[in-house]
Amino acid sequence: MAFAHPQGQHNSTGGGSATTVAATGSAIGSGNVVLGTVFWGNSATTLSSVKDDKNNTYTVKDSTVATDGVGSASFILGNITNSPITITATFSVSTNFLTIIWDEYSGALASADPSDGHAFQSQTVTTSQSSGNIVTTVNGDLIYGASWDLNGASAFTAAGGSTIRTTDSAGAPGASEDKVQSTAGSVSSTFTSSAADDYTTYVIAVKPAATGVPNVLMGQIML
Amino acid sequence: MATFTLGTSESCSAVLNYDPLGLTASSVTIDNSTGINPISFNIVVSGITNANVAQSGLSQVMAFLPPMLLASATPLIITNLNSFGMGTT
Repeated sequence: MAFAHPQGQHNSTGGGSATTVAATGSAIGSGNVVLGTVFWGNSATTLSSVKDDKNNTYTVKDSTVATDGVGSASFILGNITNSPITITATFSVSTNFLTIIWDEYSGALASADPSDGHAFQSQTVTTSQSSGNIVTTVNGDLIYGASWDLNGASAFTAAGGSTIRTTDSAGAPGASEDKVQSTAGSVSSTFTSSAADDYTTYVIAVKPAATGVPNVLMGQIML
Repeated sequence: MATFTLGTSESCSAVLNYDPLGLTASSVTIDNSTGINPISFNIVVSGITNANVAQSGLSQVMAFLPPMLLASATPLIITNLNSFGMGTT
Protein backbone atom coordinates (compact mmCIF):
# COMPACT_ATOMS: atom_id res chain seq x y z
CA MET A 1 0.00 0.00 0.00
CA ALA A 2 1.57 3.27 -1.11
CA PHE A 3 1.61 6.38 1.00
CA ALA A 4 -1.12 8.93 0.26
CA HIS A 5 -1.68 12.44 1.63
CA PRO A 6 -5.38 13.01 2.31
CA GLN A 7 -4.91 16.44 3.88
CA GLY A 8 -2.58 19.05 5.31
CA GLN A 9 -3.68 21.78 7.72
CA HIS A 10 -2.12 24.87 9.27
CA ASN A 11 -2.96 27.81 11.47
CA SER A 12 -1.18 30.68 13.19
CA THR A 13 -1.90 33.25 15.84
CA GLY A 14 0.33 35.66 13.91
CA GLY A 15 1.41 38.51 16.14
CA GLY A 16 -1.37 37.78 18.62
CA SER A 17 -0.48 36.23 21.95
CA ALA A 18 -2.02 32.94 23.12
CA THR A 19 -1.24 29.71 24.95
CA THR A 20 -2.63 27.42 22.26
CA VAL A 21 -2.69 27.12 18.51
CA ALA A 22 -4.95 24.66 16.69
CA ALA A 23 -5.64 23.62 13.12
CA THR A 24 -8.84 21.89 12.05
CA GLY A 25 -9.44 19.72 9.01
CA SER A 26 -11.64 16.83 8.01
CA ALA A 27 -11.82 13.63 10.04
CA ILE A 28 -8.52 11.75 10.08
CA GLY A 29 -8.91 8.34 8.48
CA SER A 30 -8.75 5.17 10.54
CA GLY A 31 -5.25 3.74 10.79
CA ASN A 32 -3.59 6.86 9.40
CA VAL A 33 -0.56 8.70 10.73
CA VAL A 34 -0.23 12.45 11.40
CA LEU A 35 3.08 14.25 11.30
CA GLY A 36 3.56 17.91 12.07
CA THR A 37 5.52 20.78 13.47
CA VAL A 38 4.91 23.77 15.71
CA PHE A 39 6.67 27.12 16.05
CA TRP A 40 6.67 29.62 18.90
CA GLY A 41 8.13 33.10 19.13
CA ASN A 42 9.58 33.21 22.63
CA SER A 43 12.52 31.28 24.07
CA ALA A 44 10.96 31.43 27.55
CA THR A 45 8.05 29.30 26.36
CA THR A 46 7.97 25.53 26.46
CA LEU A 47 5.71 23.21 24.49
CA SER A 48 3.44 21.50 27.04
CA SER A 49 1.56 19.08 24.80
CA VAL A 50 0.16 18.29 21.37
CA LYS A 51 -3.30 16.70 21.54
CA ASP A 52 -6.42 16.38 19.39
CA ASP A 53 -10.13 16.74 20.02
CA LYS A 54 -10.40 12.99 20.73
CA ASN A 55 -7.75 13.33 23.47
CA ASN A 56 -5.04 11.50 21.55
CA THR A 57 -1.55 12.64 22.60
CA TYR A 58 1.06 13.17 19.89
CA THR A 59 4.71 12.28 20.52
CA VAL A 60 7.17 15.16 20.27
CA LYS A 61 10.25 13.76 18.53
CA ASP A 62 12.64 16.73 18.37
CA SER A 63 12.55 20.23 19.79
CA THR A 64 14.87 23.21 19.90
CA VAL A 65 15.14 26.81 20.92
CA ALA A 66 17.39 28.38 18.33
CA THR A 67 19.72 31.15 19.35
CA ASP A 68 17.34 33.51 17.55
CA GLY A 69 15.16 33.13 20.65
CA VAL A 70 12.37 31.19 18.96
CA GLY A 71 11.36 27.58 19.37
CA SER A 72 9.97 24.74 17.29
CA ALA A 73 9.30 21.03 17.47
CA SER A 74 8.21 18.03 15.41
CA PHE A 75 5.52 15.50 16.40
CA ILE A 76 3.90 12.26 15.23
CA LEU A 77 1.06 9.89 16.05
CA GLY A 78 0.30 6.76 14.08
CA ASN A 79 -2.63 4.34 13.79
CA ILE A 80 -5.25 6.94 14.71
CA THR A 81 -8.66 5.28 14.86
CA ASN A 82 -11.17 7.71 16.42
CA SER A 83 -11.53 10.36 13.68
CA PRO A 84 -10.18 13.55 15.28
CA ILE A 85 -10.45 16.78 13.29
CA THR A 86 -8.54 19.34 15.37
CA ILE A 87 -4.95 19.15 16.61
CA THR A 88 -3.89 21.62 19.31
CA ALA A 89 -0.47 22.57 20.63
CA THR A 90 -0.45 23.99 24.17
CA PHE A 91 2.37 26.13 25.58
CA SER A 92 3.55 27.02 29.07
CA VAL A 93 2.92 30.77 28.79
CA SER A 94 1.12 33.11 26.43
CA THR A 95 3.28 33.67 23.36
CA ASN A 96 2.97 35.30 19.96
CA PHE A 97 3.63 33.81 16.53
CA LEU A 98 2.32 30.36 17.50
CA THR A 99 1.99 28.31 14.33
CA ILE A 100 1.09 24.67 13.66
CA ILE A 101 1.34 22.60 10.49
CA TRP A 102 0.14 19.01 10.30
CA ASP A 103 -0.21 16.44 7.53
CA GLU A 104 -2.16 13.19 7.40
CA TYR A 105 -0.92 10.11 5.54
CA SER A 106 -2.33 6.70 4.81
CA GLY A 107 -0.11 3.74 4.00
CA ALA A 108 2.00 3.80 7.17
CA LEU A 109 2.79 0.92 9.47
CA ALA A 110 -0.10 0.48 11.91
CA SER A 111 1.71 1.56 15.05
CA ALA A 112 1.35 4.45 17.48
CA ASP A 113 4.94 5.33 16.59
CA PRO A 114 5.84 4.11 13.08
CA SER A 115 8.93 6.34 12.89
CA ASP A 116 12.23 5.03 11.51
CA GLY A 117 14.52 7.88 12.56
CA HIS A 118 14.25 11.61 13.12
CA ALA A 119 16.44 14.69 13.51
CA PHE A 120 16.59 18.47 13.31
CA GLN A 121 19.16 21.06 12.36
CA SER A 122 19.22 24.82 13.03
CA GLN A 123 21.24 26.79 10.49
CA THR A 124 22.29 30.42 10.26
CA VAL A 125 22.24 32.59 7.12
CA THR A 126 21.47 30.08 4.41
CA THR A 127 19.14 29.51 1.48
CA SER A 128 19.66 25.73 1.50
CA GLN A 129 18.05 24.15 4.51
CA SER A 130 18.74 20.60 5.68
CA SER A 131 17.50 18.54 8.59
CA GLY A 132 20.80 16.71 8.82
CA ASN A 133 21.08 13.04 7.92
CA ILE A 134 19.38 10.08 9.51
CA VAL A 135 19.83 6.42 8.64
CA THR A 136 16.63 4.51 7.96
CA THR A 137 16.26 0.75 8.33
CA VAL A 138 13.27 -0.10 6.11
CA ASN A 139 12.82 0.22 2.33
CA GLY A 140 10.00 2.47 1.17
CA ASP A 141 9.90 4.89 4.12
CA LEU A 142 8.01 8.16 3.87
CA ILE A 143 10.49 10.97 4.51
CA TYR A 144 8.58 13.85 6.07
CA GLY A 145 10.27 17.22 6.45
CA ALA A 146 9.35 20.62 7.80
CA SER A 147 11.25 23.90 7.96
CA TRP A 148 10.77 27.26 9.68
CA ASP A 149 12.24 30.65 8.77
CA LEU A 150 13.33 31.96 12.16
CA ASN A 151 13.92 35.61 11.35
CA GLY A 152 12.54 36.52 7.93
CA ALA A 153 9.80 36.08 5.37
CA SER A 154 11.09 33.47 3.00
CA ALA A 155 9.23 31.37 0.46
CA PHE A 156 10.09 27.67 0.43
CA THR A 157 10.79 25.31 -2.44
CA ALA A 158 11.08 21.56 -1.97
CA ALA A 159 14.46 20.02 -2.71
CA GLY A 160 15.97 16.56 -2.96
CA GLY A 161 13.02 15.06 -4.80
CA SER A 162 10.40 16.08 -2.26
CA THR A 163 6.96 17.65 -2.79
CA ILE A 164 5.77 20.65 -0.79
CA ARG A 165 2.58 19.74 1.12
CA THR A 166 1.53 22.50 3.52
CA THR A 167 2.74 26.07 4.06
CA ASP A 168 1.93 28.85 6.49
CA SER A 169 2.99 32.46 6.11
CA ALA A 170 0.71 34.18 8.62
CA GLY A 171 3.21 33.69 11.43
CA ALA A 172 6.78 32.55 10.96
CA PRO A 173 7.01 31.21 7.41
CA GLY A 174 7.02 27.41 7.47
CA ALA A 175 6.45 24.52 5.12
CA SER A 176 6.22 20.74 5.08
CA GLU A 177 7.26 18.32 2.35
CA ASP A 178 7.59 14.59 1.74
CA LYS A 179 9.13 11.97 -0.49
CA VAL A 180 9.45 8.18 -0.49
CA GLN A 181 12.89 6.62 0.02
CA SER A 182 12.93 3.43 -2.04
CA THR A 183 16.01 1.90 -0.38
CA ALA A 184 16.86 2.26 3.29
CA GLY A 185 19.95 4.26 4.20
CA SER A 186 21.14 7.79 4.83
CA VAL A 187 18.58 10.49 4.04
CA SER A 188 17.65 14.06 4.97
CA SER A 189 14.91 16.55 4.33
CA THR A 190 16.07 19.58 2.32
CA PHE A 191 14.50 22.82 1.14
CA THR A 192 15.66 25.88 -0.71
CA SER A 193 14.41 29.32 0.23
CA SER A 194 14.16 32.80 -1.22
CA ALA A 195 16.02 34.59 1.57
CA ALA A 196 19.32 34.01 3.36
CA ASP A 197 17.85 33.69 6.86
CA ASP A 198 18.17 31.40 9.87
CA TYR A 199 16.15 28.16 9.69
CA THR A 200 15.31 25.08 11.69
CA THR A 201 14.49 21.99 9.63
CA TYR A 202 13.07 18.66 10.80
CA VAL A 203 12.87 15.16 9.36
CA ILE A 204 10.90 12.11 10.47
CA ALA A 205 11.02 8.83 8.54
CA VAL A 206 7.88 6.69 8.65
CA LYS A 207 7.80 2.96 7.99
CA PRO A 208 5.36 1.75 5.34
CA ALA A 209 2.52 -0.64 6.04
CA ALA A 210 3.57 -4.25 6.04
CA THR A 211 2.76 -5.82 2.68
CA GLY A 212 3.01 -9.19 0.98
CA VAL A 213 2.41 -12.72 2.17
CA PRO A 214 5.17 -14.45 4.13
CA ASN A 215 6.98 -17.03 2.03
CA VAL A 216 5.98 -19.90 4.29
CA LEU A 217 2.30 -19.04 3.82
CA MET A 218 2.74 -18.56 0.09
CA GLY A 219 4.12 -22.08 -0.09
CA GLN A 220 1.08 -23.44 1.66
CA ILE A 221 -1.28 -21.53 -0.59
CA MET A 222 0.46 -22.81 -3.73
CA LEU A 223 0.14 -26.38 -2.49
CA MET B 1 28.52 29.07 34.69
CA ALA B 2 25.15 29.06 32.98
CA THR B 3 23.29 26.63 30.75
CA PHE B 4 21.15 26.87 27.63
CA THR B 5 19.20 23.92 26.24
CA LEU B 6 19.96 23.79 22.54
CA GLY B 7 17.57 20.97 21.82
CA THR B 8 15.94 17.71 22.75
CA SER B 9 15.53 14.50 20.78
CA GLU B 10 13.23 11.91 22.33
CA SER B 11 14.31 12.07 26.00
CA CYS B 12 17.86 13.20 25.20
CA SER B 13 18.85 16.83 25.80
CA ALA B 14 21.81 18.88 24.58
CA VAL B 15 22.74 21.66 27.00
CA LEU B 16 25.36 24.32 26.30
CA ASN B 17 27.56 25.17 29.29
CA TYR B 18 28.78 28.77 29.09
CA ASP B 19 30.27 31.64 31.04
CA PRO B 20 27.95 34.66 30.69
CA LEU B 21 30.59 37.06 32.02
CA GLY B 22 33.58 35.75 30.10
CA LEU B 23 31.41 35.18 27.00
CA THR B 24 32.76 31.73 26.29
CA ALA B 25 31.15 28.29 25.95
CA SER B 26 33.23 25.38 27.20
CA SER B 27 31.11 22.31 26.46
CA VAL B 28 27.80 20.68 25.62
CA THR B 29 26.30 18.04 27.91
CA ILE B 30 24.41 15.40 25.91
CA ASP B 31 22.21 13.63 28.45
CA ASN B 32 20.70 10.45 27.06
CA SER B 33 20.54 8.71 30.43
CA THR B 34 16.86 7.83 30.05
CA GLY B 35 16.93 7.32 26.29
CA ILE B 36 16.28 4.10 24.42
CA ASN B 37 18.09 5.05 21.18
CA PRO B 38 21.57 6.47 20.53
CA ILE B 39 21.33 10.20 19.77
CA SER B 40 23.90 12.18 17.81
CA PHE B 41 24.63 15.88 18.34
CA ASN B 42 26.70 18.22 16.21
CA ILE B 43 27.58 21.90 16.23
CA VAL B 44 29.44 23.74 13.49
CA VAL B 45 31.27 27.01 14.23
CA SER B 46 33.42 28.77 11.64
CA GLY B 47 33.10 25.67 9.48
CA ILE B 48 34.58 23.39 12.15
CA THR B 49 32.36 20.51 13.32
CA ASN B 50 32.18 19.14 16.83
CA ALA B 51 30.07 15.98 17.01
CA ASN B 52 29.34 13.17 19.40
CA VAL B 53 26.91 10.30 19.95
CA ALA B 54 25.34 9.65 23.33
CA GLN B 55 24.49 5.98 23.70
CA SER B 56 21.20 5.13 25.37
CA GLY B 57 21.48 5.18 29.15
CA LEU B 58 24.53 7.45 29.12
CA SER B 59 25.38 11.13 29.49
CA GLN B 60 28.40 12.66 27.75
CA VAL B 61 30.20 15.98 27.93
CA MET B 62 31.64 17.26 24.66
CA ALA B 63 34.31 19.85 25.51
CA PHE B 64 35.38 22.67 23.19
CA LEU B 65 39.13 23.35 23.05
CA PRO B 66 39.55 26.23 22.70
CA PRO B 67 36.20 27.39 24.10
CA MET B 68 33.65 28.83 21.71
CA LEU B 69 33.20 32.58 21.80
CA LEU B 70 29.86 34.23 22.48
CA ALA B 71 28.88 37.52 20.89
CA SER B 72 26.22 37.95 23.54
CA ALA B 73 24.95 36.10 26.61
CA THR B 74 21.46 37.70 26.62
CA PRO B 75 20.25 36.77 24.11
CA LEU B 76 22.66 33.91 23.65
CA ILE B 77 24.57 34.36 20.39
CA ILE B 78 27.45 32.05 19.47
CA THR B 79 30.05 33.83 17.36
CA ASN B 80 30.29 32.47 13.81
CA LEU B 81 27.72 29.72 14.47
CA ASN B 82 26.87 27.85 11.27
CA SER B 83 24.52 25.17 12.59
CA PHE B 84 23.66 22.69 15.29
CA GLY B 85 21.46 19.64 15.26
CA MET B 86 20.63 16.32 16.82
CA GLY B 87 18.66 13.16 16.20
CA THR B 88 18.81 9.42 15.77
CA THR B 89 22.00 8.01 14.32
